[in-house]
Amino acid sequence: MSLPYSEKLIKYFMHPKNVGEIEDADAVSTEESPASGDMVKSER
Amino acid sequence: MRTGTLFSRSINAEQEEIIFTSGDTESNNLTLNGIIEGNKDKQKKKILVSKIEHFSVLDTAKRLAKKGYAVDFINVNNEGFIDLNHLEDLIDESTLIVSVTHGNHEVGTLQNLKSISEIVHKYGSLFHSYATYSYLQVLIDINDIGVDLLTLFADKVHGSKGVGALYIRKGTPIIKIMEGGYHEYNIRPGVENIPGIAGFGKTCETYNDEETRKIKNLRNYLYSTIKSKIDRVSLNGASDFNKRIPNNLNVSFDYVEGESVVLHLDMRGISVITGSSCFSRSLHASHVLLAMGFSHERAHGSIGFGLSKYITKEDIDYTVYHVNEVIENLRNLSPLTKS
Repeated sequence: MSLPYSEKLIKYFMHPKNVGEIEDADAVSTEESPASGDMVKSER
Repeated sequence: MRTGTLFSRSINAEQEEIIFTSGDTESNNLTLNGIIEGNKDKQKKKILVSKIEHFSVLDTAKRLAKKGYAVDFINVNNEGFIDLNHLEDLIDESTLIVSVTHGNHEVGTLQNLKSISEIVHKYGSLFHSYATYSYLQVLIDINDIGVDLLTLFADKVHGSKGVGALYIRKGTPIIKIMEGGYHEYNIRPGVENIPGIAGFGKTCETYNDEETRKIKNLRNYLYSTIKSKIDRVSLNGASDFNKRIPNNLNVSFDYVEGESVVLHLDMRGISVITGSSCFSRSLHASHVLLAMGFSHERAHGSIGFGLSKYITKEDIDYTVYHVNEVIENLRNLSPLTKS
């Protein structure tokens, strides 16, 4: 199948960066759209 | 043997009850539009279709609703079976046609068409079924199940794309929806795709029960292996595997999004489908899983596997190994895993 995604997107898709958990994070925020299946959780 | 005869015998119909089309989309469009064109009883103006129909039925019905026809959508339960009580509530003497898929294209649930046709015919309505995904995989005897029209497609049984068929019971009032000639008993104008039709006939001739049994066993092996290796997996569709299309398995993996699974597996040479909205061109989650009462999350995590006579046990082992690895990796990234 030819993928309808850019090379850059595929690069980050295959090798995601800054993924993981911060113990005792100062702030945590989650944004999501269940209908479209998107969810992002960030910590700092 | 003539290809038309091969088809008619495969569903116990007469040869002149089969017409060839360009595929299932055309057959389904021809059914709903052609029956409306051919209808002489002006009291009959209601169309009923199930909520889990293929878009070629669902969207045709919605288009007819915009033109002023009364269109209603029949509920299904959480395994994808038609709610017969809801059908009884919706149907009345004004119902022209009811359309319900035999084997669902996504979750594989096989409807009991006979029980549906008994209700439909009590009201003098016509009954159409989209049988592309069940044809040749399960026995279809149109006289036993009592359908008036039945859609078939070559692509799903190793035939070519661009070739379909429509069974139309003798005497069914249907009129062609395209102009251009008198082909196919004056119901579908245009020169037929002869090589494609001949190939479709060959698939009909060569399909056998032994292959179907093998596919069913491999499908069962696929499911049991996935269940034994991966946790938080839910089966979508009929829990009684005898009431599913033999080559279909559809499951949802918690905490992952189907689009990512599809892409990772594609890169490993494995093709699957998902009900996730991100992967559909409409950007909507699977209307089938939502109609079955499931959450968007479950629809997004759904993955459909399709087997064929060319799949081996080694292919299944290869698939499960990679599915397991992909799901594990994605769950490690997922914000849902630890929420």
